[in-house]
Amino acid sequence: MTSTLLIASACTVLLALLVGAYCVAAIDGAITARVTGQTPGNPLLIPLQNAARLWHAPHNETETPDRPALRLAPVLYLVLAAMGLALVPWSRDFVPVDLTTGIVFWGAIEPLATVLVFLKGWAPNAHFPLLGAYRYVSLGLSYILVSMFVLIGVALPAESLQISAVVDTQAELWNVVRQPLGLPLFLVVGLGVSFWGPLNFIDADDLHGGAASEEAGRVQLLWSTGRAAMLLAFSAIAASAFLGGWHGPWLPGPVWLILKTLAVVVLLVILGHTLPRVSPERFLTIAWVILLPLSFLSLAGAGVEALL
Amino acid sequence: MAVTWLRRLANQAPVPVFPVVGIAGEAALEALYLSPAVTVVQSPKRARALAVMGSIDYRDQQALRRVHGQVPAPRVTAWCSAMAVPQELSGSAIVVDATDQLGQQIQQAVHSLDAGQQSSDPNLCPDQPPAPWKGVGDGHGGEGMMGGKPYGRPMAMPEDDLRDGLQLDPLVFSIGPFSPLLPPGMAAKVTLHGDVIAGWEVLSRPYELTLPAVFYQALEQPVAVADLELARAAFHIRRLAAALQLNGLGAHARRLRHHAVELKPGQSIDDLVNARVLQSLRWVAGAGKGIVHDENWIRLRGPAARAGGDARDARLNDPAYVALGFEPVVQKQGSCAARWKQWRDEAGQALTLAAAAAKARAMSSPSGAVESPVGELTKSTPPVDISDLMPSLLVGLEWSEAMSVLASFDMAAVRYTDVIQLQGGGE
Amino acid sequence: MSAVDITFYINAAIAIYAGWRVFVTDSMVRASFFLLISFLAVGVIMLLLAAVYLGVALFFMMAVEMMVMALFMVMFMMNPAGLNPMKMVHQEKVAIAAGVVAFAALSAVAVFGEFPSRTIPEGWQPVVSLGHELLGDSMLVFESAGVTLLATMIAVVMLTSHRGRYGDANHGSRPPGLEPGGDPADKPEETEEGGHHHHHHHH
Repeated sequence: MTSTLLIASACTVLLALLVGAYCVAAIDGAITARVTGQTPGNPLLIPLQNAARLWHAPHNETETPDRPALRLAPVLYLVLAAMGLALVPWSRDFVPVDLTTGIVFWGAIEPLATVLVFLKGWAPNAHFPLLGAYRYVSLGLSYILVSMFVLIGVALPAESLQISAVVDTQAELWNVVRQPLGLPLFLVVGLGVSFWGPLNFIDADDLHGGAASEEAGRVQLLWSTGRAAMLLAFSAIAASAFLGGWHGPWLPGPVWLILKTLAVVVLLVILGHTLPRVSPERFLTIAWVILLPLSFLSLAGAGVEALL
Repeated sequence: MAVTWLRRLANQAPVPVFPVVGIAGEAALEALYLSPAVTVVQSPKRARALAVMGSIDYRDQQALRRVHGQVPAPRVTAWCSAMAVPQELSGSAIVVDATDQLGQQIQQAVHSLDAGQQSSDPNLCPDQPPAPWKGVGDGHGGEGMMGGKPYGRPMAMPEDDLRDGLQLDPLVFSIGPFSPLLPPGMAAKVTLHGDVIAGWEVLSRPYELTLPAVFYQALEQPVAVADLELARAAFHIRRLAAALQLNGLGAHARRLRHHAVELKPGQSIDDLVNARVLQSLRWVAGAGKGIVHDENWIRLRGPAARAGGDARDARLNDPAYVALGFEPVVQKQGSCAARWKQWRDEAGQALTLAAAAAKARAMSSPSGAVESPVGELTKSTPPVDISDLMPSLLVGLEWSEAMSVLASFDMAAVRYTDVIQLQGGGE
Repeated sequence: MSAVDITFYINAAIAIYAGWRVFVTDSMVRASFFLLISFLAVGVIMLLLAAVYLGVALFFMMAVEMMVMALFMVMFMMNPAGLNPMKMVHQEKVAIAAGVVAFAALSAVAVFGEFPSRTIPEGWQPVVSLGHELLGDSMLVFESAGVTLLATMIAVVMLTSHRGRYGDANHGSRPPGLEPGGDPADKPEETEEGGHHHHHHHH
């Protein structure tokens, strides 16, 4: 890879991450305004206003926190989101990082993100954040398995762990048609990894905001940006793995990728505003008794199709 | 230049406020929820301002000072209360009389604080670590694996778990009296095993609840049934909003709160909130829990009793309601979800009743008992406190289940004597 | 020094430093995450060695593993942010001796061993060749067996769960007797255990 291409790739990913996180916040604001029936201001400016407010807000200091973890966790979470986004192919020729094990790498990003979200709750040294983190992690482990099986399912027809190869196999038929169970199962993972809506077990209102209850100012800004960025990175991966990525008629590849990614974002944000946070116990049952067997089934179907 | 531009952008955003609700502070809190200038937050740490609404009991003054100290400085304190402002804050706190101005004035005060035109509140509590380092040296603080008590707090020791025979460390802490998860004034000492509640001790009972004025008036004089029923519907809708907020549907909660102030007779409850969203509440943690058994059952009142199949209702004794064909709605299960459903059904019924009553110009006839939204209100016995039922209901539940169960009860006693005296004095 | 060399030295330093911190830190959760950092750095070194699959697999396996370890520590011992510091080393003398011996042995391998020095052929696919090397033609069998084993594990956990669908799993159960039809061997303890459970039901 020449250095020009390297710089171009890095700039594309960073720009996409920032603009994308803003888009996620704006979409969230627009859907909130639609639900509440109140329009508090220009929906395009609200995310920027909130960010500016948090930038100036004072920092909250807790008693004997784990300072390195407190500072590093949100930054590393954002870095993980950027790494995830870097794996996504924009067109046949432009893939910022075309790792031969891209699918497995995304599979590693999910548990690493879970570790960082745990640190978010552990570092401030306060009981509500810790309870949130504890609950989040104990439930999070159950959907990471689902994610692995779903991802193996999309790698089978491509006979490769490379994301660009997975996208290439969808030129005629998208994986969402070939493996209809895959995308719904994968969306659950997306809600979990970015602790969004029904799977927001860590920043939950039943814990005074959980891990977020001790955050203020720039730490809060960093986490909310990271969360939006992770939702975006997940949506881009989902669009590439199931919705044919950059494939599509008339429009150029990158435009298709952006449209499909935003469609997944809108779907996830709407789900977040429609479904209440599920009971932890019920979610555990759903994850192990329904989602995991369904992911086995999806994988078996993909395997049979690959053999035929 | 760039900084002022950023600052101007920041000033467009609503200001986060932590509410401290005292006796008779409920109306101000509702007004604060509706204000576009502020957002009401769940934790004082994320707030820029503290809003003290209603009067705080003497026993909780120290707790108020602690909450004040938890709002990161520089901060603003807004005082919307009949209480005197504490000495230390008299120079800096903003005193607001009109509740509908509260949000705006807080926002302005925070802006002038940020612009340097106003100084921050002083700290009410000393700014020092609550548990300074007491260990030996700077390593583990002591001898052996556990390392002693470096912060004066011993390491927790394992106890038998309630559920599966594991031995887990208990986590003991107290919440309240200003926690948004509990009724104002209630404080509890909680023992947790993992996230399972192993102990719940009520440290202080909730403040007495102030009902909308129309329910007190109805005790003394005939009032329009339409007014009574609209007030009832609004009361139930606000509590449903709190249940939605607790379970992660904050946008729907805000929608309900905005609708609650402009209810019209005959409105359908399904126009206010998506029926499926309310139904989805039975999927949340604790929806099937919180069933009151045995001898305590009789102490439930109003909607909570009707949610368990007991059709007691003071409105049945009022000829005006009988003429309108009123029949109380009841649920069977008596669980948390049943009480939420009961609130929804009663709010819907109240809106229909209000339409019929407005058409017939029905007036209630004072007979010594009024069915308030939290149970029967009579001159001799206003609804009493039931917070002592909570330990038996909550122990053994997971944290989120317990919070749902708490959000489905009216625990506080109803304020009565001093309200009636005030009303009598005013007339 | 090429970029690869620099990356190697940085990651090697991180791996050693984080590995050392595991023993000096004062909280179990922190120790497990330092171990994770150490493994992640080793994973990056494996990526540099063109072991793409093994390196990335190390990332996710260690992430999940350390997370589960930390979760159990928090579950058993609520000690947020390591508020009460704890000592992470026990039986120090034995551990130091074992460590020195292991270090000497591994160093001997590194210093005296002969490593093959072949350049990677053009068009080499490390992931595919690793798969063939490990499993050959039995890939399908192995994968099916893997999924079956996982399903079995989950089923076993469900079946042995203390909280069964119809109440406690050990409700009314009785350990086998010393002789056929005789009293259980640990009868006194059993009654205490029974009393325990009775006690629990009253909560």
